[in-house]
Amino acid sequence: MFRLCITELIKIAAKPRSYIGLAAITVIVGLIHLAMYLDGLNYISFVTGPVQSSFMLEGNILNGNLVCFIILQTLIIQIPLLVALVTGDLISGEAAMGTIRLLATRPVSRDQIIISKFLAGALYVFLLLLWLGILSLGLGLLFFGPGDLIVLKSEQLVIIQGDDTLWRFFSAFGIAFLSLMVVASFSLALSCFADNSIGPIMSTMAVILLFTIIGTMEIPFFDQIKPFLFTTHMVIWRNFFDNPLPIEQIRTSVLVLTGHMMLFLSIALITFRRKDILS
Amino acid sequence: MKKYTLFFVLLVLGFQVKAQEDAKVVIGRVLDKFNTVKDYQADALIDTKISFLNMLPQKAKIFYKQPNKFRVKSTGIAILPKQNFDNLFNLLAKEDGYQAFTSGSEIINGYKTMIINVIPNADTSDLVLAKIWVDNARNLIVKSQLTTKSNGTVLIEYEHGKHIDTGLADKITFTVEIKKYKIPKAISADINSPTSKVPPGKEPKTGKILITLSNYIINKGVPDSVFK
Repeated sequence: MFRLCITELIKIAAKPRSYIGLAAITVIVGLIHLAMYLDGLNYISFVTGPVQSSFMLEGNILNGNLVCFIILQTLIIQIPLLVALVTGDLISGEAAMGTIRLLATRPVSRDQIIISKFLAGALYVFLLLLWLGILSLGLGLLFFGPGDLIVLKSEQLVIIQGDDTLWRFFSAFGIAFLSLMVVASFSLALSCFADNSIGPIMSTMAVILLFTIIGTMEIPFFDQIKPFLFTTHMVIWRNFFDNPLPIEQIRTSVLVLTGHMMLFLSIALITFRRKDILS
Repeated sequence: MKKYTLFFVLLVLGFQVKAQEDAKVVIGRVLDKFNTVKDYQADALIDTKISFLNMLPQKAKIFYKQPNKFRVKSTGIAILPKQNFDNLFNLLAKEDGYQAFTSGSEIINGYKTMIINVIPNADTSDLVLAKIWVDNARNLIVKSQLTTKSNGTVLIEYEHGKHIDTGLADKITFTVEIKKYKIPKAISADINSPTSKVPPGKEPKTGKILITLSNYIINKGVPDSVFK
């Protein structure tokens, strides 16, 4: 099983598309750092304008914690698309190349193949988030220094003390990992149905976009649907920056996300177990 | 009849001049007391109680140096009202810069206070009217209400303790008018948070900022570099 996972990791590493995500994160985070460095105070004064019209804000507002938070909230919708590029290709890519037949003839069960691909995908997601963390929080603190974090909400500003932020960021990255694993397992499941990569990747992207749009629109009918969409629970990382912490809401979302991940993984296992490999 | 009218007008004018003189004398005594402080620094704990701000009390250090240098230094983010501690004293320090009239008295915390209305002479000033409650016996301002063009009305209440002899307060409470805070969800990326259930017009109209001051260091010198 371990060797199978290593083989899958080598396959991921050998594909140029696996580096698109890392490159995209590097470019986007770099640009946001640069924009914040050059014009960050204007951006801050735009969002804190209603407060600054009546109050004086003292202290280092533009700091590494805030920049990291802005990067996370900007990227968290796009990163699932980068994950799907790799995980949507795990089975269908091999089907398209014809190597899936060879893989299935090896003395390993089909379940082991799926599990190893899932674990390799998980490691890829972890590395993607680790890279994002190093660039956003690490470089953010290096360039802009530490300080209290202003969490921008549509009707409230939450100010968290600087020494109380690190564990929140780690927890947020933990939830982001779980969220991205839902996307990875979803695209892996779709990948089991297809014989080329485009279908599962595009379908995953389309579903995420659709669910995100439904989540954004404030229409009463959609309010009934939203709790059942996994994208609704993917943004729960923000709740770690609330005071007090909405423990119950976080627990519910973690359970929903874990449930979705297990469901998609089960679909992948069942589908691949029954798949008639003709390629 | 004309004689009576003239007498009445002169009487009213006389009272007004007397009231203005009285008010300025009282303010002068308060300022004399405050002017014994050439500079000070103090530790501050700033507790913000504003509906749209969710934050813990913040520690800060406050520096003041005559005539009008004032600075708040905080390691974290602190929120203070735009009408600072020293705004009122800056106005009162220029005796020919304002008109002052007494307009009654009030008992506050068991002390009789004189209510004085202060109107700046300059119409370019942001401050339109200041109403101050002066404890005549102790020469202290215990409450003030500043009406400004830009930020509405701010009520400031002072609690004095250890440093009553210099007029420096141990606790200052600012009650400020607040506007509703709202930014588009697309900017805050706060897509899943429910919209406020508070019906329009029922939102809180005021907020409070409580500043507790301690560890005063008075007249020991504060370097100018602090205020840069």
